Amino acid sequence: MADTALPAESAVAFQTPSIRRLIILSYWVAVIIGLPIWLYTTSIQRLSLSESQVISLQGQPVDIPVNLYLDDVDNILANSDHFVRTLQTSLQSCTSSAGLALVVSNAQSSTSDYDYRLVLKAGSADCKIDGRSLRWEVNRANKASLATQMTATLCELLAPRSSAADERRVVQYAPKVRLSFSLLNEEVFMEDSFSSWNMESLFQGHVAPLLERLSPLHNFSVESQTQVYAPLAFDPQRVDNGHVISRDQLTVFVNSAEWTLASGVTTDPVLHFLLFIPSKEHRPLQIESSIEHDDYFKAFLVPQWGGVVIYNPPALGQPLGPLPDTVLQDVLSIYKNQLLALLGVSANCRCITDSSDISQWQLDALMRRRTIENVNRSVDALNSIVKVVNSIQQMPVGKDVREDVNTALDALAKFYPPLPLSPSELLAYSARALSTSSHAFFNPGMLALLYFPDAHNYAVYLPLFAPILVPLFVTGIKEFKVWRKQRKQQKLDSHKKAE
Amino acid sequence: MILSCDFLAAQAYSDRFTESLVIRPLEDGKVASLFTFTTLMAHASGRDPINDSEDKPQHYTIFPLSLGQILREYAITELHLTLNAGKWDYLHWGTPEDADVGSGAEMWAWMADGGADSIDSRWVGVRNAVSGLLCASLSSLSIQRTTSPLLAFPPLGDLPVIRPTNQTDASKQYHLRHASLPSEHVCTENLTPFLKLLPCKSSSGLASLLNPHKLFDADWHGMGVHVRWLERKGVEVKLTFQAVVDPVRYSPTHSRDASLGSMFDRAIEKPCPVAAESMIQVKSPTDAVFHLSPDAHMENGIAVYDLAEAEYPLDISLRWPAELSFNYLFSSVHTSAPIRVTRVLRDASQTHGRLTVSIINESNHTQYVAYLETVPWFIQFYLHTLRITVDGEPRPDLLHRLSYTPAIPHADPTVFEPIFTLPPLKALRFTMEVEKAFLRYTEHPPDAQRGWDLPPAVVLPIQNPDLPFPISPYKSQRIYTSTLLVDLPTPDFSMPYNVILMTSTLVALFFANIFNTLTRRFVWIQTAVA
Amino acid sequence: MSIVQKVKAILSRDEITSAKLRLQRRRRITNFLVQRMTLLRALLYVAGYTWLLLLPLPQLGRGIYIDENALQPGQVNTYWDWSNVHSADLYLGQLEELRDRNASKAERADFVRTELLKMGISSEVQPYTFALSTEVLTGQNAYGVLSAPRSSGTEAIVISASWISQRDGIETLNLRGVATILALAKFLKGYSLWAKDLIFVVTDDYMSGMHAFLSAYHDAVPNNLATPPLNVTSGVIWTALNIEYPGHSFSEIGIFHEGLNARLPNQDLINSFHVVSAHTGLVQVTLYDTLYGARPFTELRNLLPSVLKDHPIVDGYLRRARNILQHTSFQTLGKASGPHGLFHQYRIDAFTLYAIPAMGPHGFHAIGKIMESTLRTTNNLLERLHASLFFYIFTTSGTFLKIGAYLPSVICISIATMIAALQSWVNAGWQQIQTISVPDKKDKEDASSKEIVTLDALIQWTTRPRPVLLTIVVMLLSHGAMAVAWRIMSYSFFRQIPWLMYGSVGLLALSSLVLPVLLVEREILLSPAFQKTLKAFSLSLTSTVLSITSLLNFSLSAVLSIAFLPTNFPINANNKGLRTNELISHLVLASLGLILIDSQESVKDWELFGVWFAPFITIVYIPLFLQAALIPLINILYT
Repeated sequence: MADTALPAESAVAFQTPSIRRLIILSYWVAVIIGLPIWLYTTSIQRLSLSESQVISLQGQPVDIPVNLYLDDVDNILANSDHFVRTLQTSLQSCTSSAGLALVVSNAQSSTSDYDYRLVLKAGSADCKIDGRSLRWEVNRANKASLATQMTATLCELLAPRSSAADERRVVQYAPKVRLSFSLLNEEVFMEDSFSSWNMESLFQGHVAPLLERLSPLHNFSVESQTQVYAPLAFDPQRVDNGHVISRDQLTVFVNSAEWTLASGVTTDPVLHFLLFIPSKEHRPLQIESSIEHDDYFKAFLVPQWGGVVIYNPPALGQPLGPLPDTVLQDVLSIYKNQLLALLGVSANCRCITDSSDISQWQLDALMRRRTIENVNRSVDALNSIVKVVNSIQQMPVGKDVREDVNTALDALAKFYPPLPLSPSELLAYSARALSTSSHAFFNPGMLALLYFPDAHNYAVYLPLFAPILVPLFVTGIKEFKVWRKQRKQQKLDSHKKAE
Repeated sequence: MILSCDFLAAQAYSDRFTESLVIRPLEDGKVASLFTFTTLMAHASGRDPINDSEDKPQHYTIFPLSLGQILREYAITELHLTLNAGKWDYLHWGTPEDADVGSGAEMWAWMADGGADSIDSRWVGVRNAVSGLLCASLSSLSIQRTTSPLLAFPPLGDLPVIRPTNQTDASKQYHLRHASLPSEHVCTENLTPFLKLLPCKSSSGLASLLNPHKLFDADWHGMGVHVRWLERKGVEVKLTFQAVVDPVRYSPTHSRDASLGSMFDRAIEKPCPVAAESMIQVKSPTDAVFHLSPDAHMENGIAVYDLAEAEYPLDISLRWPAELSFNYLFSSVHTSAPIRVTRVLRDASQTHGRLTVSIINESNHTQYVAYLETVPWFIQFYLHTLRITVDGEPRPDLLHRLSYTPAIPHADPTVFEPIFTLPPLKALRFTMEVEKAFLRYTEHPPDAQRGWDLPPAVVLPIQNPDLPFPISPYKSQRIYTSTLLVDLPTPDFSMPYNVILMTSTLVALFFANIFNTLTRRFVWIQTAVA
Repeated sequence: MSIVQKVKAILSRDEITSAKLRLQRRRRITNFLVQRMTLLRALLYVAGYTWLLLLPLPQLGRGIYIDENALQPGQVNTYWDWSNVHSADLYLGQLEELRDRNASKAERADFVRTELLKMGISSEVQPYTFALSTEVLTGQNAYGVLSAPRSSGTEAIVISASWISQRDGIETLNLRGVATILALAKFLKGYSLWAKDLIFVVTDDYMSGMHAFLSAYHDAVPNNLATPPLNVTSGVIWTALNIEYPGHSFSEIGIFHEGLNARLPNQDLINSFHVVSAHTGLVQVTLYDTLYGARPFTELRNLLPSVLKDHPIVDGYLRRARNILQHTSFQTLGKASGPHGLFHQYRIDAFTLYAIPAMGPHGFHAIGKIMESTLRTTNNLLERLHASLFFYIFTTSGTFLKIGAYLPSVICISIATMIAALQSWVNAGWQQIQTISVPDKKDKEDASSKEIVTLDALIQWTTRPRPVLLTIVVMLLSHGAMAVAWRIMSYSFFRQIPWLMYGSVGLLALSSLVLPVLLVEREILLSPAFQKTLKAFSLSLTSTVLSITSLLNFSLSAVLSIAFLPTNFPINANNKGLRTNELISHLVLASLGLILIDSQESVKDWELFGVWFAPFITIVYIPLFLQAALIPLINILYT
């Protein structure tokens, strides 16, 4: 080597290899510590959802246990056990399809108060409901057809079938429902039009009890208003006696642009009940081929939205004032039926004597139906959340989302397997599951970083990272090489010494 | 908005709707008109946020349901909202019939405290609900614009004592929230829902005159919603629409003759049947040769028309037969406000500026005024630079009392509330240095950058400056200054990536230098023989 | 030797040798550069100056375009018609009547105010007084604010006319300009479509009136101005249009856009005006007060052979050259080319429409239409115009030079100067000694290191100390002396007696030359170390000044880059003739600056408008020449 004559590099002022190595090392330490911090601070928070549970729920049928006790008071049946079995099997078809796990058995002493009793008595063939028990009077003559009759009735009571048309009417379930009653004058006149109605007091008398009965199902809030100018969006057809609204005009009858019906404050579903009073030139206003032939009232029902009653007042020339209470009473009774239809209360069967009231059986059936709907809907919601989160990697999943999902799962746990709870309790759980799961699904935080992909980050910061990392690597490697070489050298020297 | 039960029967029949229109010719040939629609819901009272729930049944007759729902949901005792377009010219137009003429949107509410959700959450709620109701963009009235001034916005009605406390404390149960958005534009989309709140909509009565095409060509127009509770009366909602139109601009001969037809190009076809009372008043100038048709019966200088007796179609016309074309110099009418305020913010540089306010006392006796300045945090006052002068002479003694809430950066605005003594026929002038903050880049608006609007300042004439708080006892008419536009230092947003690239390259450069010098190895190298 | 082996060799090479090779490579490169440094400088000079010459070429420029889409120039139908022209004529009649009975400033202002009040536009009169060191300017502005319907009055547009129109030192009354303002005010009030307030200003005098108005409006009243605060105000002013209409009719409209201290309005404004007047007014737009078709430099043309004389390329070149020179003459001195120039310092875009007097065909009708349409355009504006459109040079009214097209010229020269400075800095510290020695045979096989060896063998360097401190002191002396001179020039006492003033200034300059010669002993002064260091410092300062001013005021830096050329030549200690020439040329150039200041009343501009041309010349420009002159002076004195 030519350079051997030269002094060692350590002799050059102010440099020792150890310090230099320390410097390089410290740079690397900084980088290695910094990297995870940087990654952590720039990464999106994606908490893990308990997917396995959610997916496992998908497609599992819910079976709500229903116990029916046969209580043969007058010992009509020879072999009650056999009868029970036949009843069980014959009922199976309709109940299982409705998602019920029906157990028919002989009367026991201790039964929880939400089990059903079927009391057989001797007497004229007749049935009567009180509470959750059904009194069935049989005359011993025709016991043969008893099972079949009973099956039909019980099916109707426990798992009432509703036609597709009815299904479409029924509003989707929500724990809170807002009922809004509006008195709409198409145009106001000095006589024979109504600036107000006495809804306040009449409501208490007529509708309130019904709502009270339905309270386990929904929590109702009520409001009413009157409008004196509520024009129609279309012109009804002129006929010899008054005007007629055709079928397709019914669909556009509600003029939501002009009538201020929408509620700004809540997101709860609102059921509107309108009393529409046509202007003088439109009276009497008929609905084309309407069923009932009362010429004062015309009523129709807007699926999932509410009910409308058209009232053509007789020309009595009474001054502008409140609506007569008698009229309002009739209107309210129409509203009641419309409300029941919208809520999906099943039609009365023959055993129910007073038609005004809703029997416990109907209520329970409805609650069970709602429960099953809710459970299915919330399971769907959860599944779709999981799907979305998995498909979009950029989507953040915050704490609140996870909490919502977990609460929903806890609530759903009550149904897999179903606990022996009262229908109202079950409904409450299902409602909570539904609300929390949908709340999680519509969580705004999940859209936050959706539109800022990582590629941008790297593209932007490349001019910073590249020039910094390259020299770090090069010098690191170089230094390492030198160090190894020196090690070798030292080894050799030591060997030499040894020899 | 729920009735206490003992009035059930009474309520349905004793709600009352009244409407009135006041027309006033102005000094500079324009005509000011004020529509007022008042609906009283008898014996009702605001919801107590603690005791009664939102779910009690609510029944309305002519009171607008959609508004009632909002008031009840958020338990609002008193609510005021004004949407104005334009700058009210106090010099030529005098004091407005309806005091709240601040440019843009302004909203304030009195709420009783307590209950599940806090005052502020309810304030946010009612803000969004009302902006939904009137299609206004009030939801952008963030906390950066919300304040609770002490003096300028006293409750106009009474405040029910909601909890049995000793009377003195009753006022303490209530809180004020106020916000204003000067850049809000008022237009048809606000008027349409506004009209829906009226029982007769725009189809009859005075409301039928509210014709957007004409109104939104006016020199100034504004609408207001005022809800208050009156003891032994009930809840009253007052809807106002105010407009200043310029007949001179419309008429080919530059005359100032005006009529309902020319101002609104409508005449009133029929009255609103549910209106218990509907009046048109014309404040006719006394001195001028002034002709009014059809004839009205005069009540101390004011011509009054009652729509109940009027014959239809009703078109009132104001004429000055003497003059062919209007000459502004020799206007017969003289309208001017007792107090006038001018406010300017001149920015010497991008970062600093000076606020200059002069309050002119036109009357010949001493007056007291409470001044209110609320500016977002990015304008910071230097309070120590406050200088009060009257025609050049420093007069610190005129500052009677001062309350000052400094801003919280990126959050609350500054509130500056002095009480001044105004010497007669003099202009009090005070200046203050301000600093403009440098915003975070996310805080700049995404849309066109023309600068930031500052809300109008408010001046409230008061009788006795020594009355106690917390709830301001002063119920006189507010005076609004014009709004201000201030441009903050704004980066060029058209090329953010270039900036990032540039800086990171520089950083890399420095790094490389330092790193090299720190880690270079020095060795002896023999290049040649000497 | 195959590539593989090469690569192997490189890899196997141990660190010492590789380092050695790197070192040698570096040396070779530096040597290469050092040897050709002077050549490089020469190239840069040539490039720079030729670039300056080429600026008028059409290839460098490009056509104007509208950057801001919101402007939508010329997209509206105008309503200005003959009835408005008639009202303008009526106003003109009254104004002429005022002129004929030469009414006082107060009467004039009051007339305008009353007319505005009659229209229902709130307006007032603003009296003002400037107390300058030499004179006192008083005047009365009249202005009115038409507040736009339904607008919150936070933004405004100014339409102004000064009472006097001034072109090439000739003053004429701007009566038609004022009449246009009044007629416009009356006409525009009839429309409710304004989103911004309109401020109509009729200022007294030519420039001072507008200066008084703007300072009062922006609450930035300087000490030498006395004026009451304005009572009728509006919001932020965005744009301003100033009308000069001296003749009784006009053929073309000329644009004047240069502001104080070489500030310019946003180009979009001028471009959109160009579009408007071309489409709506059907009036030819030109630059300054020369007609679009004019053929400048006639005598220069006559020198050319007849073939070239009217050749379109030559013609075009000369026309653009003329416009650029006009632009430069305004900007170099930091003068505004009209009242509009006062707006720019408040971030307001403004320019002057100059109706070039002619026998026709245009009159009130055309200018009214154009004004209306332009105002509608500016009325559309929602945000500040884009920041990148403030750097441009108009070559014709329809074409302009982008910053990239003109800036490099000066930068080249500045770089060359800096290189010269560095060279002389090196030479100050190092000295070459020629030695002859045989290249050693030791490592002949190492071909790569051969030439290095020879180089090192032949050239030897010795170092010598650089008298840095002394040099800095000398430089500071010259700058300090001229700073004192500047104070003197701005004292009213001295300005009354010019000979005294310039005498003392000359004395100061002289002292800054003589003092070092007297105080420092001969050897040091004569030593190349000192001379070269001084040259190095003053040149580097020159280069810095050039590159900085090139952004602030391109025209000025272009002029400087030419002026400073003589200082760039190397020192020659021996040739008597040359150094006397040098000395004289430097002193002449220095005094030229002084003459310029005097002839252009730049000191007054500084007092009134804060134009920094005069102080810059005195405190920066002249000292640099003094420093350059010092070296030849020494050499003459001592040899």
